[in-house]
Amino acid sequence: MKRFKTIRNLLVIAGGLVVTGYLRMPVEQRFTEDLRERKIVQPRIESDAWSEMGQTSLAGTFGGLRTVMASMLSLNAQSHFEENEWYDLKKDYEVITALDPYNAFYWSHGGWHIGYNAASWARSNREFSPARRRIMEMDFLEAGDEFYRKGLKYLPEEESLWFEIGSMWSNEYKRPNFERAAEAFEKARDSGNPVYRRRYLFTIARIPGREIEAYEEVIRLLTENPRHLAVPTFRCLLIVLPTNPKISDIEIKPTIDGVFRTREKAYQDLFNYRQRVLEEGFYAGNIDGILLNLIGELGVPDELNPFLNPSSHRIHTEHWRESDDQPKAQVPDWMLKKKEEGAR
Amino acid sequence: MSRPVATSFFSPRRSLIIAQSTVTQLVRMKVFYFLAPIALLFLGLQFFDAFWYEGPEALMPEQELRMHKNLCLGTMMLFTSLFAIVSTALLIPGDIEDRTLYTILCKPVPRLDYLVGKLFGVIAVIFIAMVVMDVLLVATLHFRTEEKLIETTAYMTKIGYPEREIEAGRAEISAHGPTLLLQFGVISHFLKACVIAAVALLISTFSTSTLFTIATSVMIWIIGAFQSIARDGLFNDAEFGDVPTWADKIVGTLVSLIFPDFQLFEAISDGAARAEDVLPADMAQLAGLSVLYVGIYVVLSWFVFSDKEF
Amino acid sequence: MSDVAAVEVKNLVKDFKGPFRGGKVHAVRDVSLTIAPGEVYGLIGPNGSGKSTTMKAVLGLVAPTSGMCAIFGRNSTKVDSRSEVGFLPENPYFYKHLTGAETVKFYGRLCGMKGLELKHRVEEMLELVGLQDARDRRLKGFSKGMLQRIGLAQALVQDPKLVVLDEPTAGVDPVGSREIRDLILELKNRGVTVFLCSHLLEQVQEICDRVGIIHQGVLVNEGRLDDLISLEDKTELILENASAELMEQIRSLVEVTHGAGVISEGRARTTLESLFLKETQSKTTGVPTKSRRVSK
Repeated sequence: MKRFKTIRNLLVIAGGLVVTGYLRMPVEQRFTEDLRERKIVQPRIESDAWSEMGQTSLAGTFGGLRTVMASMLSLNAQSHFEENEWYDLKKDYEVITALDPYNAFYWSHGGWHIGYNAASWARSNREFSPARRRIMEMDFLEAGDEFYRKGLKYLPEEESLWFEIGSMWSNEYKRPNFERAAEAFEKARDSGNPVYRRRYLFTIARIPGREIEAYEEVIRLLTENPRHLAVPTFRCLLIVLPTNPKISDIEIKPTIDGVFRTREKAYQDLFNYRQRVLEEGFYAGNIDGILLNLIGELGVPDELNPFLNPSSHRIHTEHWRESDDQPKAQVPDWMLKKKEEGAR
Repeated sequence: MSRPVATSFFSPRRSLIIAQSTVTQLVRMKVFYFLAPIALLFLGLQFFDAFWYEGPEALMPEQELRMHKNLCLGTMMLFTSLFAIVSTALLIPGDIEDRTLYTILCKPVPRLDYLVGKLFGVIAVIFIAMVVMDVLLVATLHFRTEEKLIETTAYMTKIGYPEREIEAGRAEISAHGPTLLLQFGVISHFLKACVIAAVALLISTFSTSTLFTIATSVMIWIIGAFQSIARDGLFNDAEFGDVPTWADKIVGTLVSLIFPDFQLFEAISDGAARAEDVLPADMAQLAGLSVLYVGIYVVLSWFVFSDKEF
Repeated sequence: MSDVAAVEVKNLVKDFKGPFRGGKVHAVRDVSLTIAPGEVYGLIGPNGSGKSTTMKAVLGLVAPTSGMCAIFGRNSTKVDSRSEVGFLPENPYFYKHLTGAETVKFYGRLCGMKGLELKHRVEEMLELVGLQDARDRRLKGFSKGMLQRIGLAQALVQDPKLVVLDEPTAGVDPVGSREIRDLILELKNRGVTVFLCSHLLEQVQEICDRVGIIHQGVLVNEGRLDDLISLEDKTELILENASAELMEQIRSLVEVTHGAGVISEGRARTTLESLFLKETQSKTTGVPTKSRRVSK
């Protein structure tokens, strides 16, 4: 009798759970899908991530402590960074991002470690031959790129990750690939972030054959938001890009006086831009011609004449800002002397 | 002497009496002493700096605050879930072994009142513990957030960010501080603990040992974290891979129907910690599901317990 | 007196699962008994005879395999039937974390009592069982006898019409045992029905009106105590200050009466318990006689 009762009880319990289960399942599923769409529910952990997880991470996953385990692992991953254990670090970040894929920080940090730090280490590691170093560096760059893109699958609205891909591929200290960088920056600029938009512009300005596109972009940016003029490289591109012979029928042709506050400021910015042309591959256009005109007009001293005294130095001024409420720039002495003489 | 009124099917008042007695029992068992190491952990986190994250690798303030919240909420979840299982698992068998149950059931106390009273006693203790931990969490997070706000403001001002960008940065940091959204995370863990306690109650009504009850409840807690995967497989065939076998479907169906979905509770808590948009409507839905779960388990417990012999 | 029996057991059968597969233990076999309101009924039998099972069936703690139990006309399996019942289990355990007063209050509240009425009742019960001094002590510090007494207090807290006592004096010293016995008699005087099980046959003999003897699950004998234990063909005569000559005359008279005979002769004896009480109470100084006040 007792056994019958036990079996009966278990059947009733199972039956009760099954019946109520059928009633609640559709509700739960709809709720889950809604939360999933809003990225509140974490996606399932991918099978390869399972195999990478240690016991502690697994235990945390079972206990519903995914984000906690991700936090703790990310702190632990730092030790791999310090020891240059890049493959272990990569594995760690794969687990971390599997546990907490909706945290952009982990994708950003992991990609930075792989695409920047690991690649730099490979490039500079004298233990390997130059050929081997190059291969390793490229491997890490590609791995970093892949890592960021994987993050973008989970966080497609996170344009900062596109920006980081673009930054990685446009970094002159690595293996710059401006086409890939431009592709990434183009996606990042859709967010409307002015920094991202300018980086796209600056990148395509370095790609031979895309000057017209760059010019159209610079005009578009200027029209949409004149505050871009606060950035020296932007100002210079406004002047330099129209010098491209392929660009004709220009409706808006910016002038030096219209773009720069003073001719002296124009010289400073264009001088520095020329350095970027030489070092970073920016579009040269007729920068030399423009500078020569200014040299003649302003009486620039020889030490600041790049044609007479080529160097990699830039002309710096302190506290130079474009907005009126910022402190005035400290103008170099030679420029001040010219002004005084002019005033007299 | 006034005579008691006829015994109704269920008396909230009687359940409350048993609940109060349960609370007293647990409190006098000094369960709240467990809050001491938790308080130390929360306070320790307040002073914890990932010091090796400096310079360019420095953690963003939002990430630091997020870590703080994740660790605290995770601790709260662990404590309340385990406490719910262990204390519920001990109560009824303890009363049977001690024969305290005889004297209670020999009074005009319907068995449902007894079960509900025991369960709500445990829930009341969990609630008190949650409130204490929540206060600690809010306090430590508040101080941490203020610290980050001051640091970030000073840094951005030094660099020369315009005022509106500094304000935007501050707003972003404040969003990860002790907001109402964070309370949704705390509440979701409380609701989860209530459901787990009800599960343990059901198992204890037919279990022959406390150890079995605890072990089975823990297993259900774990399986509940993956129930949604099985359910997904039923609603979205592709989730199972190429072709789900009959065995996959049967197992998936049984798991989805029988086990509770604890992932929802974790998701809401994680979302709150990430300062995602968790809505009051989401909380209402979660609370509704919790009530449904607790109700089912209590009814089934009552069914088993009602003709249990002592 | 009401026509409804305080306790009615009709053809009660209770089987439990046996130690062997398919086997059964017949704990109670077709037991029928009735306890009238205001009666003190004792159910006696050896260990494992089915006394406790019968009691549990009456209280609704176990469901009959067949048959029926009722308390004041209400089926025992219904919760309502317990509103007029107070139960003291054998070796009672209560929540050890509660104090004496809290324990009585807890059970009083479960019976629906509240407020000042409950408060006064708690004090009354503690005084009745002599535990006022231990009212604020937690039960885990109580001795066996104290636990028994607090058990009585909780059984009586709601002023029940039926009190069920399972081995009420087990483990209690003779003084306490006598007090419990006196209490039972007092309850009887107030018209409370008492249903008790005990191994202490002397005590059962002292207080019960009716007795049932159960053995191997069967009620082998039942009836009024006097009827059960009186020896029809024997007469007891206790004399005070009888001289030797008087005794000789009585012996002679018996000898000449056909069919009668002297079976034994000797000094009348008191009970060891009475002697114990006499010796211990007379030697206790400064202990006032307890006054018992049971109010309605």
